[in-house]
Amino acid sequence: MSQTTSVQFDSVSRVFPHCRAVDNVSASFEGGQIHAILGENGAGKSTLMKLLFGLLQPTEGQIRIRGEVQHWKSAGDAIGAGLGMVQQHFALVDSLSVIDNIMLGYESTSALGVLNRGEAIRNLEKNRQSAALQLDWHQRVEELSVGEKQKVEILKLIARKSQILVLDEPTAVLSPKEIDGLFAILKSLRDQGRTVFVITHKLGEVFDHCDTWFVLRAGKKTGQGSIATARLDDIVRAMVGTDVPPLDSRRPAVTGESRLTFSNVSILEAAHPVRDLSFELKAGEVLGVAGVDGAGQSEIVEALLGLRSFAGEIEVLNCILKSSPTPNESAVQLTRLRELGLALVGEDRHQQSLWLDESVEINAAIGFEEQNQLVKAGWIQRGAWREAVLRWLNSFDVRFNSLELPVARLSGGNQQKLIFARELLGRAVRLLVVHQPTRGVDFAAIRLIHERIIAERDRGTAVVVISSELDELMALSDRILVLCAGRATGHFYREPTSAPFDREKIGVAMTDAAASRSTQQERRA
Amino acid sequence: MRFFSFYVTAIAVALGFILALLLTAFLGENPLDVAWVLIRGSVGSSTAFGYSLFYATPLIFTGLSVAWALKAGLFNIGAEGQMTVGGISMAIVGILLQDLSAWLAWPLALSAGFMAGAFWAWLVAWFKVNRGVHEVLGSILLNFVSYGLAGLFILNVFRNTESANPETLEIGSGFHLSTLEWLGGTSPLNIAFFFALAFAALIDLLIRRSKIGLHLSWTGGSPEFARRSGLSISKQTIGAMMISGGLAGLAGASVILGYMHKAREGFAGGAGFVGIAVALLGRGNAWGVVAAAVLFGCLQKGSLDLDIDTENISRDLAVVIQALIVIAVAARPVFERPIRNWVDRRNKAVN
Repeated sequence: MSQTTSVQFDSVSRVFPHCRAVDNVSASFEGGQIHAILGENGAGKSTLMKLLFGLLQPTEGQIRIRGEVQHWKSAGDAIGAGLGMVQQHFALVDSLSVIDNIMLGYESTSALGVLNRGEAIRNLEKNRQSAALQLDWHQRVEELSVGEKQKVEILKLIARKSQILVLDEPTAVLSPKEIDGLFAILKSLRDQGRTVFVITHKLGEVFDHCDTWFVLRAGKKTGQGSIATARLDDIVRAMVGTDVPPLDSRRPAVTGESRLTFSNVSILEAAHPVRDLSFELKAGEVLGVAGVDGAGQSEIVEALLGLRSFAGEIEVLNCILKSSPTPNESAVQLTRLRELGLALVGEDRHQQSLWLDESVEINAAIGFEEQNQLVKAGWIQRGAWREAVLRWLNSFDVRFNSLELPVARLSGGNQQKLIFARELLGRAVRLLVVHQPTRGVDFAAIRLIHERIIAERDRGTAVVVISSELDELMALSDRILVLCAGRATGHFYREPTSAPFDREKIGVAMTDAAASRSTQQERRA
Repeated sequence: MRFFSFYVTAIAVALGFILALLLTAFLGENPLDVAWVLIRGSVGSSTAFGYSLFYATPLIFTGLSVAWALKAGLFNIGAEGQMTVGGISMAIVGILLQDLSAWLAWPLALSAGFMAGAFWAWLVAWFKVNRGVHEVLGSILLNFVSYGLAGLFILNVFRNTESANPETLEIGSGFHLSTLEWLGGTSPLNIAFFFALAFAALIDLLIRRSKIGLHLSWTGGSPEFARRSGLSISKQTIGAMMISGGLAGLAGASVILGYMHKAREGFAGGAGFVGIAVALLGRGNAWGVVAAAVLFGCLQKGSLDLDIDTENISRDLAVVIQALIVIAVAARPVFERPIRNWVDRRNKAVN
């Protein structure tokens, strides 16, 4: 294991017209280790990595790789110098095989121009070192799971002889078991002497698997150290700037009438079909829905909004939904549900929950203007609107410079808080549906959003939280329903102990082998 | 932000003018002379200015029409056709009810024009919502149908056989809109110009202050969010297109009720298409549309004198200028960024 300095930043700054994205950062990273790069959204992590890759040039300072000052001008130079990156969104050609994807752009051919797949495979077999990196080389990429696709990306870097690997939020789309598998691979790469950077915000993984930690806040380095001697509090303080109190211990759920019922619901005409799903949600409890992305969560949300046709029966706030509504019927039905107290926080907030070009003021109340009497006889009541919006935004601690600014200019956390404020305040909410409550949201905002979700539950609201972050679900839920490939594969109840849910069992249910195999067969049939 | 946007548009307009005037230099004219002819011809006398406003009147209506549809994310390229059917309907009402007095005739004719235009646009919306026909395709095809329909009424059903021109019989005198001598001298400028301003005020109020306007621009600005909040996109589409079509349907009022007092073939004269440029230049703001329409009206009038007062260029220069302005406005991003950076730097220096 080499202990030489692999990457060194010397007083590196990168200035954009509006901000210093990276501000006078000096740090050195040892070779042959796994380094966790931590920080809230917008802290400058991606900018720092782009500087490392030569995708951006530093305004001040320099970057040294193995002691040599780096002068390259493009990612191509960086790859040539032994750097490799796995983006959050994979760059794979779905219709090609695993080996073709790995060779793409670096094809070795025989004299006649025929692809030399055999030789490429032999080289890989020799270099991959870890049994965990075994794949069927000739399978098409579209048939692979998310975790396997990630392995293909890593194999691409190995084939290109990358010595320094950067992975951007690699675990966001993985189940707990796949996460362990990924880090096993990364550790084997480390043991071969490679240097690995993992950009993440999940502290659990950092403590379990990484060697060092490094935190950026607002472009400045706020902490760095070895995991062996690290304390959780120190890292959190470096990320947030203050101490974060732990979530208050919750009182047991007091449940009431039924607010949402799925009875044998199937949603078949969908990208991710749902089959034979039944559950009931009562007033005053939080139901968590776990599962990796694309297990049918979006379809379930659209069905309960009445925007999708389904088989079986769905009852929302004592209304039985039409099973195949026309667009106009859906609109009338959904308007009725919203009047009855349905609140919704969408999965993709830019598309589904915000009108990005419009002002903060409009976004903070639109859709509920009639219920909140901000519109009278068809005319907007400007004074009442502004006054209500200011009250709501303050109550959710939304930070903004001006009410007139487009909502797109707010940070992710403030946007999400604004959406919660709009959906929850000013009217009687009886059912709250939250899809990905804290995706791309900073630490402080996560804390506030979690508190408000629990407060809603204590007020007697029925809450559905759908999230791919298991930690989040275990913190919030009274019950957890696990989905895998469109089927319910587990149902877990909160235990009144220090570990209320069995993480391992939930993880197994999320990747239920039987369920995924049967749907694959159906798809082929 | 709003003021910034106004300045950038103003710069784009100026750029278009300057480029066009430089072109005249290549044709052997003095650009300053050409500019002077344009200015004198459009605002040099009350009659000249009256003509400019007269030309601007239909452009205000069609500009508002296109802008309203754009708010909902719809590109109504069929204002020309909607104007045509609206104008024909006004003429038909006026021909059939010869003896109606003005206080009944005016609202009746305007309603007929609005409803005919709205119906024409409703067809487009219906095909889009129920059959998935894109509104650009639907509206441009219906333009051709409207020309045929207009020809049928003008050349056959209501043709004035005494006249050598392809035109209809005269409308009743109660339908004649009053001309405005105090403002427009001997030009045919008539009260329809003020109707147009009233509609601009109404549209401005609706867009900024009403639930209808808010939901219209919500549908256009963030359709998936609107749909998930219980808005019916199909209803919004139909409503937006009908109002858009109705506005275009009114565009013929100034020419038919206020000037010709009959319908002549080709009375729309491309105002529906120029309305698209007017809406773009007005940037979806009702008063911006009015300003852009008056600018284009002035251009149209001013360029008429070019035929007489210059050697080498004709009134077609107006079209060249219009085109260059539209291109400059469309190319806003090219010079918007440097200006924004400059403003930011200056602000920073002041702070």
